[in-house]
Amino acid sequence: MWEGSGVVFDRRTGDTHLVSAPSQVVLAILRDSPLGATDAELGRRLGGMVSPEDEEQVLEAVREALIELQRIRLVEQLEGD
Amino acid sequence: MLTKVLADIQSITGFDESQWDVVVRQARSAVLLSRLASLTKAAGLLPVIPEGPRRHLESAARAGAAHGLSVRRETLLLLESMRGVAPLLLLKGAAYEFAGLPTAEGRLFGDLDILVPRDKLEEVESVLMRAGWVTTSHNDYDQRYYRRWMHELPPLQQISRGTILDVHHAISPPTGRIRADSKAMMDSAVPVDKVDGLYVLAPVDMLLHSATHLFQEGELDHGLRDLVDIDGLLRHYGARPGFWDQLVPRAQEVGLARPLFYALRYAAMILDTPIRQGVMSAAKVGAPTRPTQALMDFLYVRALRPNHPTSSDGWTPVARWILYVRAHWLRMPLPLLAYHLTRKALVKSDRQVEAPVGQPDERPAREA
Amino acid sequence: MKVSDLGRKNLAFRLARGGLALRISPFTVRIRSGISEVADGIATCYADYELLPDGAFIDFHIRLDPPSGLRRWFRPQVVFHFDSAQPFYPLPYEQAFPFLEWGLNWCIAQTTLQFVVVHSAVVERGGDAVILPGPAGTGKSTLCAGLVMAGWRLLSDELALIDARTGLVTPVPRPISLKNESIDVIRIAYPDAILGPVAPHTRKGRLAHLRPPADSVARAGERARLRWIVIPHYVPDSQAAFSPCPKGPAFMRLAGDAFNYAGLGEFAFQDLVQTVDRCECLNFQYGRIDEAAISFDRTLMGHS
Repeated sequence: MWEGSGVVFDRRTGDTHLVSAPSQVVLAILRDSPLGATDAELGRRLGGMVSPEDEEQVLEAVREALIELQRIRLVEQLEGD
Repeated sequence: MLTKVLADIQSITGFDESQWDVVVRQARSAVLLSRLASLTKAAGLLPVIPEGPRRHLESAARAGAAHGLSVRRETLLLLESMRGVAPLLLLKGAAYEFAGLPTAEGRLFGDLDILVPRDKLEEVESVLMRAGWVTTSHNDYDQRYYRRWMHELPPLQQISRGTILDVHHAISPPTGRIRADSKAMMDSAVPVDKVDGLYVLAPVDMLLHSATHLFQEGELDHGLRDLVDIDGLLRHYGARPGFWDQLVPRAQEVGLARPLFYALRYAAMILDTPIRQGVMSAAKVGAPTRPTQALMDFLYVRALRPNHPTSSDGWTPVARWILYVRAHWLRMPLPLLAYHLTRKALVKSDRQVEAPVGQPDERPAREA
Repeated sequence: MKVSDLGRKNLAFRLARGGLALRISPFTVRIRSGISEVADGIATCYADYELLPDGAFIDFHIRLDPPSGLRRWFRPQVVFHFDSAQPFYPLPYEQAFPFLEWGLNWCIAQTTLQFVVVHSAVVERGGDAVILPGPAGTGKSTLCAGLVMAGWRLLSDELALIDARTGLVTPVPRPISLKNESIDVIRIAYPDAILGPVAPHTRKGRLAHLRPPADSVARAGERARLRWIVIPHYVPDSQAAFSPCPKGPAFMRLAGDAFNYAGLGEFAFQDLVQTVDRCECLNFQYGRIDEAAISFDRTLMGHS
């Protein structure tokens, strides 16, 4: 991961993706959480890594990251999240 | 020279540069360079090879490793698509990879091959189509030919990744002269370790299929590589109890005694494959008449050499052509054979189309 | 013994008969051809290259000849043979020498999978190497030619062979291909430049090859540490200027310009990550070659 963006190799499909920095972090968190995580949890953990300026801003970044990651099928939404 | 090296890897110590030159070229043309790299690595001989050839082997080794990962990936994606519809039974290269066979290392191949029961064929076809696998043959004649005379569909290609898939519905053509009991072989399939829903043929059946593929098919471009597979299967599974004892009886049971005979004979003759005492003579139940055997020896010894000018004699192209015709003869009745071969010849010449002027366009390579 | 030591006649003779074995560092190549344009191209552009003794291991056995058959007499063509294979469709006869160059690029890219091979020019100064990635038509070859004429060492004009583990680039100095106006630009700016035969009607227009400096050929065994990735943008009449390029997009750009990236999958990914990590990534806009060369010296060399 580099400043502002990162690259990810999807072992499942062999594809390479350019992702935003928040997406890269969200992906890393999800990898470590076998049971998945809710938006709020992700917001908390992401906020803990950067200076927690605005909780709402962080949550927004999380939501955008999840949209990006779902679009390229690196994560999927489970029921009840 | 390549066959001697494959039969005994130690023979490379002491090769001079001009010998290496020939071996690398033969190996590359036989699609066995990665295999050669694996063998030299396994024997710990890589450091003693001169720099020139060694660099080619290192590159080929990497190609082999990357290929293995890609095969696994493609197979698992295929499994996702087929889950619930039919069990995924792998054949040939993909099977060797998932069965953990040493012969899979460094084995390059272009297509995935799977086997599905005839009654599930339509369902499998539609599931695959939804997953982006489209037919590569838009030609009615080929479609009919494949469905009627062959034991597989025309190749499918994955629309975004480009992978080619051959869907077999029988071990050998159902209308051919040699009829294998495909159902019996499918019923004896074994699950792959740790991968739910994935199957391969039982060891003896895997060997028999490999033999059938080589000695019934006409495509001998990869003949030596396929013989190397047979050699690998015999060496690996030969160490398992019961394998040698089951070989001939099973071959007779499923109707593949003839290909088994050829497989054992030529693997031993060309690659020095160790055959258990007594099995070779038992396998003679599948032998052809003496004159046929003499002819086949002449043809196959040439056709199974690397497809390279340094290892051919004047007879080699003829030998290959004769075996190509034989394969079709085994597959269809005579009057149709003539029509098919004529058509094939005509269509081929239609394909000599001019490329546009400018940067060279690569020829498409089947099974690079 | 070098190619220039053979007389032109002797060169053509050997080329047509057993073939000419050359060291095109780090490779050894045997070329066979009865076509005079090929002999001309080799005589001009490969003059400084070393000939090999008999019996040496040859990396690439190459042959360029017309196809057999009736086609010989009517709109003749040339076929590229790599050992016993013909990887390409034939090209018009007068493109035989460019065909040699294109074909050789392909051979190299296919057989050096242990490296990250990026479609880019590579030059070096003061021990540090720069790669200029980009597909054909982005001006990288012209810029490369300009830099080389201004004293930068040529490592390659088409293929960067990068060892991801060490970060070193292996030189493959060869003739630099120039198209259309670039040919004139270089001829005018550098009257001493030696150019091979001009192929008039390739898909890209006029094509010619610039002989690499003897010094670059002589130092082909010296690898260099890769320090910069510079993405060139030719904009006519613009001022030469560098600007930073974020590494994520630089990576994606390089992946697109890397041969065999898709085939090598995760291996290529890891290697490229390591490579991009180590380098400074920049965009470079320029309108004039001489200005570009000065800008390179000032900006990149100034940094060290």
